[in-house]
Amino acid sequence: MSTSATTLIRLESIHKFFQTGLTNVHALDGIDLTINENEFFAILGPSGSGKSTLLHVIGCLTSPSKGTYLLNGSDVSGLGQWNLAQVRNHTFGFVFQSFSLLSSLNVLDNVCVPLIYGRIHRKERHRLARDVIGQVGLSHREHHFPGQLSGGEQQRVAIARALVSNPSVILADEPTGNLDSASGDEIMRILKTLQKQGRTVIIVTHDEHIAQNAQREIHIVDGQISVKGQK
Amino acid sequence: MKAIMPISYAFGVAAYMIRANKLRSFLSILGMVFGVATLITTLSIGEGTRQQILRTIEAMGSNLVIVSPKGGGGTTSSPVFDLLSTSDSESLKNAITDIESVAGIFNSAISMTRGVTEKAVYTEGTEPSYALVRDLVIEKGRFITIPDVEDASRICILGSKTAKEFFPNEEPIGKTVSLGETSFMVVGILTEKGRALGIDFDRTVFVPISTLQELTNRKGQVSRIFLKAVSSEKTGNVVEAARNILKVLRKGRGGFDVWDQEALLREKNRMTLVFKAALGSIAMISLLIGGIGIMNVLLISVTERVREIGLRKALGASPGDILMQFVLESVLLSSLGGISGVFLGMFLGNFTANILIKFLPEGGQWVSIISLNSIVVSLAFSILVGLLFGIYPAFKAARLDPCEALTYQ
Ligand SMILES: Nc1ncnc2c1ncn2[C@@H]1O[C@H](COP(=O)(O)OP(=O)(O)OP(=O)(O)O)[C@@H](O)[C@H]1O
Ligand SMILES: [Mg+2]
Repeated sequence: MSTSATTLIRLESIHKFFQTGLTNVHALDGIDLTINENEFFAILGPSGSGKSTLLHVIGCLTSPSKGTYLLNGSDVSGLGQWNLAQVRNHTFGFVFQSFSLLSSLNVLDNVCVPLIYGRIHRKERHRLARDVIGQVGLSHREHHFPGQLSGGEQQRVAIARALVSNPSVILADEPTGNLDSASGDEIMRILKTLQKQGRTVIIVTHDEHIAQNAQREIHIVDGQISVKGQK
Repeated sequence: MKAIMPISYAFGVAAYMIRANKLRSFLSILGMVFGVATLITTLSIGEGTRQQILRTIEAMGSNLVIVSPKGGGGTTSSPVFDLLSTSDSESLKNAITDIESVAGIFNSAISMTRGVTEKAVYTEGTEPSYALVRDLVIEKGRFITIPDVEDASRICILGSKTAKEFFPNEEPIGKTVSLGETSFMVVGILTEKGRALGIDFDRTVFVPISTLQELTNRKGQVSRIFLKAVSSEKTGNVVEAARNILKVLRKGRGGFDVWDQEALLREKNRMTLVFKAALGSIAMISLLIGGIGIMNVLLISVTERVREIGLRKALGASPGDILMQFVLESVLLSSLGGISGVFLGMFLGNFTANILIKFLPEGGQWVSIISLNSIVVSLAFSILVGLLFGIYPAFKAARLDPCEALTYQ
């Protein structure tokens, strides 16, 4: 990794508490982390360690209880709900373990959802969506519904959806967790291509084998970083 | 950057959710449907009744005061002891100031024949002023004249329907008909007028009062006296004055009624408005309750769709986008309820009208009148209810934390 790399994400002693009833869960316990542009970055750790929570903080799905988050050098804690929605729409593309496609919509319409919230016109929406559906090799499935697709195909649709608004960062939470190894490898191949195209890719996994694809990884245990690794 | 997503998209999502949960959507709008239907039915029945009353007032002739022997009727078929007389009519005409005109009538049911057509007809013997007093309009020919009364001429004027019945294919004017044993020449036809005070003008035959008194051997007797006041404000005075004069003339004996039916009808008309307002407010309350039904379903829907909402937010939906989507769903549901309610209300209104018509005398008109106004009011109110009751669930959805929504089990 070259020293001239630009810092994209900078977390400084991030804490996250969840208050559910009487119990207070300390999901993130002082995370310090820097992620550079165009990195392929992996977050590892056992179940319940706080990996997803960290990814959600990075993706502005939730704000940290304590600490500073600088995205492209500017503090996101000052942003209101509407601006956060804009950041999620334009800067990040999410891929979830459970695919999270809307079962009532076909492939094309699912991929169009982020563009709708980006106020893109219908014609342009379809053009952009068809383009990314082609990139994940599903052009022939455009009018199929999620229920008619295999798990691997559904995850490729989810990746297309994450890509469609041309975000600079792809966040993937156990993208291969529900897939057989062949489909999982295909997903990882696509994610690597995205990184080669210039995007930053951050994945959460508990699978060392999957993490092999990353240039850098951290291990989280009980909300704290235990090991930082560079390959 | 536009502040809201395309409405058509939010509309599409809302329409999809409603279709995807048909039964639930149907149940949720049921309260709304019945609320609006009640409102429409109430308004249409109220309006129908009101117009019916207004028509009656119009047909009766305006500013009318009626003097009749006690016991109301005074047809020659039912013996009434204290019949009024032509001189009563003259005295009233001369003594009361606030009247435009006075007309006495003497009525009788007589069998009328022409060729093979024979029928008992209601006949009124009257004076020229009767046309003015009762607002009768001559379609063809003329009405009774002063010479007709002086000479007890054998002429008659036919109501429009009677004219058609007796002269289906020919011009009646100048032809003769028999009333009882006597021949009468038809000199005039009235335009259609309808019913008033229990009399169908279109089936009435008018003859000079003197002629009918002569034929029935009741010279000088009058069954009713009609007085037309100069204005509706003066009808009260005229009633009062007529009572006093008749009392004096009869040396304190009663035996007559003086009444102003228009005043009664105006009161009835006012009551109809009150009835409309009262039932209308009850219907509005049931509409509000209908709104609560929609709100419940939307709250369930928000809970069920927490993951979807979280996902949409993760993909860039702003709280405003989510808010709009749920408010739109609510408004769509309530408008659906409103539109169905309007149709159900129209049906119920007509249905009720058809039942009410059976209680009216033959030839009575009764329609349910659905004004554009009442439809617009109902629809506007249902949309308002949708907005009102959609806002709370929509806020709940918009405020969901996307991260918690996504991890929600
Ligand atoms: N919305 C929430 N409300 C309450 N507690 C939460 C919430 N989200 C996460 N937690 C808690 O925070 C801790 C970390 O959760 P997180 O989902 O980040 O773990 P993880 O490392 O992603 O686990 P897994 O591998 O099972 O996905 C857990 O104890 C979890 O129960
Ligand atoms: Mg997780």
